[in-house]
Amino acid sequence: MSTTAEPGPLLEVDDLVTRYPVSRGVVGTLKRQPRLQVHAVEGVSFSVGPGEMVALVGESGCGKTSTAQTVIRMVDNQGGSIRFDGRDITGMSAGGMRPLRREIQMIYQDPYESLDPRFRVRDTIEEPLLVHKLGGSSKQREQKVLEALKRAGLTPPDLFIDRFPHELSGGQRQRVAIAASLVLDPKLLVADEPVSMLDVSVRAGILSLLDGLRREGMGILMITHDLSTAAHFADRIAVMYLGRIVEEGPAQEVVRNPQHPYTRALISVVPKRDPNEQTVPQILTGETPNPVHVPSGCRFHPRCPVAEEACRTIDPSLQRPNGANVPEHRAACIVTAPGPSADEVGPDGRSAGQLAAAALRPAALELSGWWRRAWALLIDVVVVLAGGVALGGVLAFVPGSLGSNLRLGIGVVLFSALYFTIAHGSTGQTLGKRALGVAVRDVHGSGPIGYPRAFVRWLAFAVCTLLAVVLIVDLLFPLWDDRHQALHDKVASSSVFQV
Amino acid sequence: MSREPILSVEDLHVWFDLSGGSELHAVQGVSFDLRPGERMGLVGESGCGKTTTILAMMGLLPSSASVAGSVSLDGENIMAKGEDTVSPHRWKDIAMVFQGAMNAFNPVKTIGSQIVEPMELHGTATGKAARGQTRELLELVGISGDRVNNYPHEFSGGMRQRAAIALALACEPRVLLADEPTTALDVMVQAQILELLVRLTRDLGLSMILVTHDLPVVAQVCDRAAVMYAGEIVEMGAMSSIYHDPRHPYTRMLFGATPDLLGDADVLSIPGAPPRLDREIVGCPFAPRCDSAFAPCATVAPRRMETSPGHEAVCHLNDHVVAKEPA
Repeated sequence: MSTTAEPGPLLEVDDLVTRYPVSRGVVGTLKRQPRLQVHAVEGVSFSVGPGEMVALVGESGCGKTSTAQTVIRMVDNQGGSIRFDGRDITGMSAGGMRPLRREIQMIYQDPYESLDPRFRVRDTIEEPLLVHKLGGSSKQREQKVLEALKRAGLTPPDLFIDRFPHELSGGQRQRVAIAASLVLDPKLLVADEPVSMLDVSVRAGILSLLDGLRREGMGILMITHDLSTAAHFADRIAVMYLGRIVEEGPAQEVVRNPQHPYTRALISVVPKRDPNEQTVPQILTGETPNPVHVPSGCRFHPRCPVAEEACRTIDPSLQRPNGANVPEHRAACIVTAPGPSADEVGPDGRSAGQLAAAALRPAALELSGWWRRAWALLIDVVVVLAGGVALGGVLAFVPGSLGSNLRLGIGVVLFSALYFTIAHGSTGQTLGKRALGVAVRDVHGSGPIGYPRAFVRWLAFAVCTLLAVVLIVDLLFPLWDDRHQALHDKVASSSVFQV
Repeated sequence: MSREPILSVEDLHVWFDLSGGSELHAVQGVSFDLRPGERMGLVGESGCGKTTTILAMMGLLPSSASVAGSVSLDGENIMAKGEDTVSPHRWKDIAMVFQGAMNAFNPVKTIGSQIVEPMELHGTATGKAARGQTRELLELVGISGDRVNNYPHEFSGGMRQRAAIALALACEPRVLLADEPTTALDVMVQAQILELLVRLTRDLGLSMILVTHDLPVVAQVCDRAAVMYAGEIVEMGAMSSIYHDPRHPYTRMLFGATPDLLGDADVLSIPGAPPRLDREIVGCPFAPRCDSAFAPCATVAPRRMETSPGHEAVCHLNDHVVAKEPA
């Protein structure tokens, strides 16, 4: 449990968003396929205090490693903030990060790959000191290396300091990797699956080592897929699913009193050691969906055994469930974990932020089916008329021969074509297109609004081109004018056309 | 289960030639029986010889290995004349889901054509019949038959593992050897695959040997378990008797090193490392790491003792027990 007289959390992550672009390829770019993104981390908040071990638990692809990599600024985030030791490190430059890097150290999954096979143990552990220009003379550095080896449980250190990785067992290699982090005296250790590549018989030793470091006051963020390990060694567990934390709380509370259906299913499939303790595993069908196309509403609803109709639309936020035994236990489910805290959460289980966002949007958004389409259509008509009249007014000043009514008509058609291109077309990447597109999509909501997008886009593009040609031609050769016929005769008889 | 064993392994030894002229004694006298419909777990740390044991049973060891002992299928020693006697049974009677098989599919051939291949090779089915059977097999392991013409990259990890199981079942074997079938999979997919294996053994009457380092997996899936250490089976018996009454300190310490989700007991690692198998082992191979070692362990090799019917262990601690309570 966290130490007394807490000076505030070591690491504070708030609403972290990390996305990776998906390559479209040349053909995709030419075909103007929309740019897709992997939504690896979508609004994750947690904190790690000094002397605390927090475990991020989840299946592969749930975003736990992306979270860790974003936290140590190996990957840039698209939103949210990361505070380390009271300082905001979200937008910090590489140079600014450098002194902080010795305070945040990472341990990787595979000690067979993370150690350089040509480096002796001494070189591996000494390297961080050289990189950070610490440790003074080579004698002093050797002293530090020996201390780090001792702290990592490789005793006597003299026996190990001159060995190569291939002369060490898996557990010993991982201890060397940990020693290389400890030599810098970090405040925070990020351990990504520190034992999953190791034999069962030595796992407990590595985890006990981390536990000892935690007791000395180090903050540890452990990434793992193994709930049993997390339950035994972590103070707090955060269960992730598809880029979100779906449940968090004190470790024992989460595994003994799970509230989210995903956590419940996950716990039910962990094999028990006792063969007579046959539990009924609640096996979810399928696998974690592709984080490129995140399901609407609650992202777990397509696989959820207790999903209700509302789960398709409501994206639940973390809140204290009624069934929780301790106040720090939070889960994000409107079915199994409804919460009482009205100050934070609205009646339908949405957070204050979500409710505020909804209040800013028209009420019709909450309508469904045809009403929603009708509302969308009404918005379209009003926008097209207003914008079209304005454009027509502007066009009236362009020299040419067309009458004002015709210009007004052209304005309306041109504007509506542009509007449909932007509002219903691909997600534009220029700022203007994006702003307009977002604004309009926000009015329509994110659901389907009934226009066949590609068709509308091409139609609008064709109309735009046609009208632009008409206006340019009119500018050069005025049409529908009293002088039209005369002009035509004049043009026809000019030398240019007599070739 | 009192029926005759379908498969019986007796005093199996495997040596690998090392480059320096020395030999590595990877499997040191393994014996066990497998009865029809039985699920047996082969558990141990990496390097303890569990994969080598089942590869030897399939006759698939490299040429640098020498094998001794017998593997009998329905009483016939299939090792008697090496490849000549093994190959008629391989895949038709004994099939295997290899470690990492889900990543071993040929990426440029469809899953269906790769499952048809062993059928045509062994002559169990050809042409249209084989393709029809492939669809049935895929359905059996929980994949839609319409995906028979998909390529491996179109399958997720869990589906590729299901396809690997379908591939092993292609020639309707009676014994399935599964080598770490869930190791690289997520816990939810692992549960799906384990459920599938249990269902297949039950519905098809298959016997299975599940090789894994994960004791809880064996506890939940298998009827019987054999714990291997340094190339030999140090304890074997019914799963519940092994869990509740382990007769070898290694088994007890292995359970102690495995965290249980809701357990309160401290998780303790086993100190030290397994012995090198390229040297003669004096005494009990586990003695240097054992928390209960006493005088004879360092010098005298312990005997295999049946501590209760069907439960045997190789440990000096049982010398006294058996002497005191004659069975």
